[in-house]
Amino acid sequence: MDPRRPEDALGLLLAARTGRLTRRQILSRGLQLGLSTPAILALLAACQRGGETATPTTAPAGATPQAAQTPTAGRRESENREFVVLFFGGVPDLDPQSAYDNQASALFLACYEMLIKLKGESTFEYEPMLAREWSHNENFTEFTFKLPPNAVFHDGSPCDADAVKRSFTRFLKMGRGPVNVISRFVEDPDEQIQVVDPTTIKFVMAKPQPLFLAAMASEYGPLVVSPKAWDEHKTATDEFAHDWFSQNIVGTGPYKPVELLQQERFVFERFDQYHGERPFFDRIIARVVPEDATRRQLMETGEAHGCAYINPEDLLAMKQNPNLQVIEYDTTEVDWIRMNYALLNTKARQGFCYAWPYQEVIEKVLRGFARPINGPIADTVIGYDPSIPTYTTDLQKAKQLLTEAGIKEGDTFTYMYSSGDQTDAAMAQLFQANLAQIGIRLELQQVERAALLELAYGDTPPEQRPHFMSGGWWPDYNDSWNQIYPNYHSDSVGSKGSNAMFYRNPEVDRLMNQLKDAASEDEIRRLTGQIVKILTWDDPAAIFYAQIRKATVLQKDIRGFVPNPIYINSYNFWAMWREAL
Amino acid sequence: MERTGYAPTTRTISTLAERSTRTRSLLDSIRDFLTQSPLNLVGVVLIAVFLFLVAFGSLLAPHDPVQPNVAVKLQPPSSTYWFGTDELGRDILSRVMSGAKYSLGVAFIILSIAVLVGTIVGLIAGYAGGIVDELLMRVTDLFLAFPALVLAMAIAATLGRTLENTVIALTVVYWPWYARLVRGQVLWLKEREFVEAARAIGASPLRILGRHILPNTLAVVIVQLTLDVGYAVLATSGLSFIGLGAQPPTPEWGTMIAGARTFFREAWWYITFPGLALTLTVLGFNLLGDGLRDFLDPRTRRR
Amino acid sequence: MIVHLIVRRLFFLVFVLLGLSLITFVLSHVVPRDPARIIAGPRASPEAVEKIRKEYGLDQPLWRQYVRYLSGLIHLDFGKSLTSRRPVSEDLARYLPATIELALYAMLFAVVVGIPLGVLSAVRRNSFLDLIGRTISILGLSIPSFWLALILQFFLFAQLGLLPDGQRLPVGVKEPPRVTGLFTVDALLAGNFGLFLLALKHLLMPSFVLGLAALAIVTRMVRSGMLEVLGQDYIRTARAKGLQPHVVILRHALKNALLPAVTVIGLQFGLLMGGAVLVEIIFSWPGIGRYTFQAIQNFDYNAVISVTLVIGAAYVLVNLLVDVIYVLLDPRIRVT
Repeated sequence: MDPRRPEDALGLLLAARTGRLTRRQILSRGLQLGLSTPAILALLAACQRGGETATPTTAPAGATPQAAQTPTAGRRESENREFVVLFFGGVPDLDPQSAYDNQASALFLACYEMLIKLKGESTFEYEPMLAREWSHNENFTEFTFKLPPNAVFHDGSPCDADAVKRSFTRFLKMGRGPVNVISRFVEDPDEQIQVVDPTTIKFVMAKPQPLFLAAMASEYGPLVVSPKAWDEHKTATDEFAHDWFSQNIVGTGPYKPVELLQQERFVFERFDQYHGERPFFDRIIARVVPEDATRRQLMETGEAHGCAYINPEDLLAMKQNPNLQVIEYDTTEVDWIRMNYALLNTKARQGFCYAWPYQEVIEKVLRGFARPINGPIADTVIGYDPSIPTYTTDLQKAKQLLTEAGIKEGDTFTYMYSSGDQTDAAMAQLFQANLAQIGIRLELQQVERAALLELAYGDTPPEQRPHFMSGGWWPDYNDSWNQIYPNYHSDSVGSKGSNAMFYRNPEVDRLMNQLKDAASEDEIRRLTGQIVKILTWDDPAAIFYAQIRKATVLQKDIRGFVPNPIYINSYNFWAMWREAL
Repeated sequence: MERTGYAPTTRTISTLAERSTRTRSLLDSIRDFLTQSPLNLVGVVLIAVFLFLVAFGSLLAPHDPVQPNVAVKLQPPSSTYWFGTDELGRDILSRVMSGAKYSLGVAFIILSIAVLVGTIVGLIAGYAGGIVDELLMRVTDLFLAFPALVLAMAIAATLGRTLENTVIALTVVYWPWYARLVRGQVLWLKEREFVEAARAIGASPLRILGRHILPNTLAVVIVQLTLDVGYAVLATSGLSFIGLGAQPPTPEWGTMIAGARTFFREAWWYITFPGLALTLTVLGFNLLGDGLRDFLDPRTRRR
Repeated sequence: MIVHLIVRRLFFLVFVLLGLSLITFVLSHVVPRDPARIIAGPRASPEAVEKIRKEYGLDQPLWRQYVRYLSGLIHLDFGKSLTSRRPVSEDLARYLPATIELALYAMLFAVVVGIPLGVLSAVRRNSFLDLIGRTISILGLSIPSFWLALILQFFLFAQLGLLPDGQRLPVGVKEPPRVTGLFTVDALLAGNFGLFLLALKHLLMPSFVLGLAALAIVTRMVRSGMLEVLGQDYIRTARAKGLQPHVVILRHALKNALLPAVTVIGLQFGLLMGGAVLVEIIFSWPGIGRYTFQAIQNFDYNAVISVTLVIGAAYVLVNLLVDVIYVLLDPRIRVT
């Protein structure tokens, strides 16, 4: 909170409490008052605990998700110490320094550790994970982490500063998957990572890096693996033992693996030498169930205890089920329909933005598990600018713009989306129907998820890509640059990033390069706002149709779960427990 | 590999088919067939209904089968929407009616091509004999050794998920069966007197094949065809069900069932009606095919 | 003559394997997909993708990849799966028994129900009983397995909680020590009857759905076989001698009618394994069908080709077996 103007914050707080202002209005007013985004978000969290940010719909009173803070003593614990979560697909790569996969990271939080993690629901405050404490110098060039003396890996080897350094060295030199999360800050691990003493490790930056801690708390990449296992399993052709790590787990986390069947299930057991507090559950089991309907059935019969992959339609029904709690939370995810920059001119893209069925999609397809958004930056992310207007459906205007763009009635466009997702299919058909009303044909192409990713992030020239491609994204850590750069910078086209529709706008590029090195939050917000305005209005890159609100379904006796807008679909296994009801 | 599930019966069918067309009028045969078992009648009626839908289903549909109307999503069956509505508010009755064209119509296309290709290959192989026969039959066997659904899935996944590619995939799966069937017939007919006679008077091979052999293989092929329509419908909708065939908003029945899974509990009608349509269609053809075979097979004709 | 037949067929097997592998290989490479990109994941750097491409030999020209694959095959090395990242042979060893077990139980169901049904239908031809029998069997053949599976799963698992939703065993239950890979058999071998029952319970729904189609075929084969036999002279003689009808049917007719029927049933087994794909997907059955489906979706070439080869080879061998049995049983039959 900004100490300079306490009265402003107080006014906002009161407004929020009494419900006079919506979340977005509060953000907007707060920013006008010169408060920082984190401050406002903290404010909101403080006055809406258990309210809008995380709502257990059917949890008994007094058992809000904040139970993590209650001391272990005095709680009525159940005898059943097994927790079964459901996944929608297999996890082929279990190497935490290579996998860039939502489900994989949910698994990793059971068995691997970052040095620090995000605190509770916050996206900019941290708490200990592997490191006990940490500090940085005033200009954010030196970061020091203190490790516990008793940390050991599942293979029994000690996890000291040297081991952490070697682990990060492996991550950075192997250069797989999420390496960019840390390599943005640490280019030369040998020089920049320093072992001070066995329990102290220091990261030294070339220039001020205020976002380094945020990146270190990302669940993608900066997890610590056992250097002993690395040494034992590296081969002449595989110096990083990636093959081995992609199928085995040796970390410092509270759970150690018992059975890892990558397309079927993952079974973990409590790790007795865990350096931290002893977790409640004896076993964590993740089961792969590809069918939506089956996942719902398993939750309703009580065979599974947690699932983050339930479609909106089922969520609404499950909210009525007294045996389940549906915990909703805001995320940093924005979903969008990329538009082909090479095939569609500016007017055409603007026209299509007006043709999207925004309200129908949010109300009837996403069933309220989303809200309108004015660009690629969610209102939970630093840099969000509430002053940018949001599109609403206007077929008249769409038709006019499309005509100006040279598009005639009867012209056909292609729209590609990934199979297996009912909501994607429904949205596509609504868009198709809207366009049909103004005489434009939309051809739907459903492809396997793998094929979509391959096409989107491969080297197929833009002329051979569809006109529209559905997708979504959330940042690895709370940073607007991390969200925009891989998707809309011209450096990231084709296989060089995720700029799948070859968006190239020199002004956006220029602003983004400035944003990368922005030193203050004001500057971040100013630059992000300018970029978002171009991406949304002046030269649209995509139809930004919703900021996603997620929900995790739990059995009603599960306590201590705290969702986080960055750790989407993950669990804080270490703090969760089951109450005897 | 001369033996398959249906090889033993085919030979006798054709003798009988010949005999029945020669000695009795077609109408008599049809009447006999329909009265032999009530199931035969049921089969014919079912087929008639669905063939009618293939032709006129989309014309007669009371509502637009593809235009969404989210205001009336997931409505239970009512006087306006007899079969209820789906998640985008489309009338399920209209979708089921228009869907016949895709599920059943596509099966016909697949089998027509398969029969055409298979018959040509079978005729050539059977009549030419020798090395040509050997070569063609080994290729045929190669395709038979392919796990059918795997092949179909691979083709559909490679070429892209469209109904057209489903046609290609399933045609590739089905033609070898007809090639073998026809070849077997040709081998047998080749030695018959009337063919020998034709050859003796100097008829060209093309004429012998066209005038004497082909007509006599048709009966077998048609019986087999009837039995296969059911399989082809199931295969088409099965591929669509796993997302490799027809794409939304096409009201193909398998695609509809796939879409209905999510809404099973809230909307029983959504998954029920396309499934029933599918079952009844396949049932009709299986009843007809089974009845026909029973009717034409002398071994089972009388005791 | 049998030796001649076997040699000929084994020669043909080589041709089939070559042909299958070539067709699948070409098929999977027709479209310029980039499996390395898929493995690397959406946010991977180009360097990471390049690394994987090298690792899996995907950077080499097509024909070389094919030759490399073939030379591996000779040593029974199917290559590495791109999705599971294990040798495909390991995957096959894990998933194939699951499908075999499923198909076996489906067959068992079809035979146990189908033979009596077929016999009754034949004996009481065109009676009400025949009508019922034929209807049941044809209905079984007509109901789309994926639709029935969904409906059964909904009622028996979600609503009534009578049967498990799928899978081979509940999560967290330890598998029996591996001998055959068939859980019911392995559980009995280990003397663990409870585990046997548990595995059996998991088999009920999927094998019923899968067996239903086979049931129709079994019933039909038995019925027509019986009809033929019942029409023959020795049966009439036996009847004339005044033997009890059930003795005639069971002793004489069934015995003779069953042989061809069973052969055809054997051939259906291969068909069942193919039909298992949809059932396995719906019941989360970790078998070869679901594995193949996943492999195809992920452009996991090695896995798809290997499955094709294994099933293709099995088809040829089963055919050979059937023909050998035929020749042995009835020397008059000429088989090419």
